[in-house]
Amino acid sequence: MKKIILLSLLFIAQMAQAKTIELPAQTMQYRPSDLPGYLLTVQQCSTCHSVEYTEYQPPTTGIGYWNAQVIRMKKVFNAPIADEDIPVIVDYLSKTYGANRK
Amino acid sequence: MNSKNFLNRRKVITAALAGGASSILPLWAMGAEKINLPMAYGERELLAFPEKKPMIVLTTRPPQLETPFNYYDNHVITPNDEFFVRYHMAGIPTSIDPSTYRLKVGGNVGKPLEISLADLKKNFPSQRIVAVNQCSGNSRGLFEPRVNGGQLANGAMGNAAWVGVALKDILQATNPGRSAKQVTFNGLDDPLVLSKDSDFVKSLDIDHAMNGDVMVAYQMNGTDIPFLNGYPIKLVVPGYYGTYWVKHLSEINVIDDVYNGYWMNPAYRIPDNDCNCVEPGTAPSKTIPINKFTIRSFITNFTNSSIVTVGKSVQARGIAFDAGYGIKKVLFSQDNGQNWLEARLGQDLGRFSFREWRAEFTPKQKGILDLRVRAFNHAGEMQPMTAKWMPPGYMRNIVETVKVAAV
Repeated sequence: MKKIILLSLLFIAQMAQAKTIELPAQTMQYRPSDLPGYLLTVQQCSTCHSVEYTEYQPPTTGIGYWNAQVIRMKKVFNAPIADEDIPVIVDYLSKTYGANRK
Repeated sequence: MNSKNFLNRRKVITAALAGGASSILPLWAMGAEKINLPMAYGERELLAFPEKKPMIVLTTRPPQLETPFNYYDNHVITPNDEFFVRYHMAGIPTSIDPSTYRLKVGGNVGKPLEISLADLKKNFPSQRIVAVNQCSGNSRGLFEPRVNGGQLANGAMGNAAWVGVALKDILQATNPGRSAKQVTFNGLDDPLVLSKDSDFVKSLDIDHAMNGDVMVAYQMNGTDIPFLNGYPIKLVVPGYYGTYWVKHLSEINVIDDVYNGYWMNPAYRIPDNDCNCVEPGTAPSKTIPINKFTIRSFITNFTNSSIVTVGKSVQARGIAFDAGYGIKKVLFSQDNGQNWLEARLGQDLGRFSFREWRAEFTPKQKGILDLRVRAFNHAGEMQPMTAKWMPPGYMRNIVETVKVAAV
């Protein structure tokens, strides 16, 4: 019994040593759209990152940037995006953000 | 509460900023939700993350936080809870046990090591360096023409006192091979889908790694490094951009060639020419990894909404820093650079630190005054009067301007 208590205390002491943080949730969402790329973007892009970076790209941002980024996410970071979905996602991003952000 | 009311209730802070300074936020605004950076699409949320004051949110996931510029007027050493945060990977650690933490040092070494935090503190001599850490893309949002990437104003920089162990001492204990060419650094942050190239791994040439300045820090401003800044240990590379300051440092490898992973190539590259710049809108023909800081200075106590009085002497103040050659002088102008006066430099906290400057001036006539500040270092470098440009938006260091109203 004593041994169990001692082990438990040791376990608690170990646990207490770990430093843990809880990160705040994002408050921003992808801009809703009827474009077929909207839901694909929400589903596929949200796995790895929040939306703000997209929202903040400057008004000079054209379709070439969005295309390069989606391909980068697939090729470099192995995002599970099907090849046929790439132009659909790019269409939504380029018509919603950057040069076309309202 | 409908959404319109909610919007109205938001404390919207319009910091009419340009160039160097953001507006001095009143105390009531510390918990405010919005700030406007001086760029198109510059509205940002302010949010308090663990161990941080409300900071400008560039992204929540992974966390990227910018320091509101008015914070820099309060201290020459940036407090830990005001220090900027920049992660790259989707998979970041959220719980770390210091009692089981290990730093692995291997690769082409005679004696690989696994160093606990206790061993790091006990078995190696400690050193302290005050050094600026600055994101490569600090001020990217101020580029004209605009460039893509993290749209930061001037708040992705900070100055801290780092305590830790010289990397040289750790490497020497492992007996690196004679053919060693570079050293690579990895932290606990990972991509969600691991692949050889996409993990955030950085490299330094072996001579740089052994220069005595590069260190493995376990303390920041006299206490543990905040979790989001790399707890419990991070690489500190004085005078070099933050991309090399690997957080949650867990693995060091000595290698015989040049590391060419994604985050060394093609990411974080600059034009390979004298100015590290190209004609706006063009691409460089050849690139090299980003390396040392450019020289910079800022006015911290005025903003574009400040008012001064004609005929009444007033003090301007701020900070200057460079890659470690040391700030030689700072010039201040109240007339858009037509006339300059030399500022007084504050205490020298070390060649890698922010250096405070102060200058008194008397506004001569009513109207808008273009206040400018320009730093010079001991290597003969000075800030350019016109901005240099490169596609990734790194290394901005134009002479900053703050427009105040003289009445």
